[in-house]
Amino acid sequence: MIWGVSMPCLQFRTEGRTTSASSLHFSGDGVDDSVVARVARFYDANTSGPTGAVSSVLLMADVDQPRLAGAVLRPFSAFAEVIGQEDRLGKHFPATVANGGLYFWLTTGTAFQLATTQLFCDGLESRGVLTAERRPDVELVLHEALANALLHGNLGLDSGLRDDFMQYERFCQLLDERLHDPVASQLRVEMAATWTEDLLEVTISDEGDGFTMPNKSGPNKSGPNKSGSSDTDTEGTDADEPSILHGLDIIRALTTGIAASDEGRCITVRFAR
Amino acid sequence: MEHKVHATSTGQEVIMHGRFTFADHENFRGVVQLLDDPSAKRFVFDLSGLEFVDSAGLGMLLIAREAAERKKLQLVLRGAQGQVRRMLDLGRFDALFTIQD
Repeated sequence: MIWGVSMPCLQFRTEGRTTSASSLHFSGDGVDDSVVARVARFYDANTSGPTGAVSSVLLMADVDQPRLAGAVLRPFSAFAEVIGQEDRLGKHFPATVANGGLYFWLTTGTAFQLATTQLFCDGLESRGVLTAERRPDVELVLHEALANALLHGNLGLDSGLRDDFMQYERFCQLLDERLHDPVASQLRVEMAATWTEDLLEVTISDEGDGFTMPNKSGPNKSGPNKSGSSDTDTEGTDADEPSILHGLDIIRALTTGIAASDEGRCITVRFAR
Repeated sequence: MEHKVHATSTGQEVIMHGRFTFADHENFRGVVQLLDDPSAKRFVFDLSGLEFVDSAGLGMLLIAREAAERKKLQLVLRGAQGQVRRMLDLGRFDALFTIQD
């Protein structure tokens, strides 16, 4: 059952301020009522947006593919997975909902199991942000960025293991172990999209150890081996020979802009619309 | 990704459906183990039912290729379409695999 709490930023309106006059409406689906109320109170007081804007937020427990697939087609701006009494959301939540964007906040375990980027793109397409023509490239880029955030960020897996035949069994074992690790599997990933008439910008962030984004021309040996160092690991290879295609290669090829922040835990990609 | 395995006169054929992504490593480990069949000479991945593949999926095909080479098996990728075909082209897989329409 879904129930809701409307929080129309009363404290700001009564003070006559207009800098924070957006209105948030929080609903819970399987989430403890007290958690919904607590989240609503906190974020209502910390979210600014255009005057008159209304954003709806759905807090969900036990997220699965059918429920999120149905929910994402409804007029919510944000979908957040809640575990127990936890009441935190990601740092991109306030700005995303204030600007009427689309926001996912999911555990690693859930984002890994679901076709997460497909659902996110369903949401963008149903809001008229993505055309069927543009969708394949955007979905692939978001998928690759999310894969990096999950595998190399929150689960801390070295991409070198995945690509090495002799290490492949070990990679699969480690992946299984980390997905069943109660701490790693509950680290969050955040997908936050905002858009204008000309531009779509999506930020994907994780809660891993971070990495140093390599230069396009070659590997950056200074950072930990998240997706980055092997993503452009072309040393000793012939440019004409087929080589392993990595997520970062695809992201760079299909976006109009890419930026990393928060010591590599956060990547922002931009697309022309 | 879901898959079915069919025995052929020369080896095995794996028919893949759905989305072949980073979430399929555990699943694909079982597929790679099929390459241990000592009587097989030829191994076919039928990709015609795949609708999406990511860089991790391509990486898993490369793992299978290396396993096949060690067993001296011929490995064939068949029937890729749409986004999957585009990804194989992007990875220049024609230089690495026998690719059939």
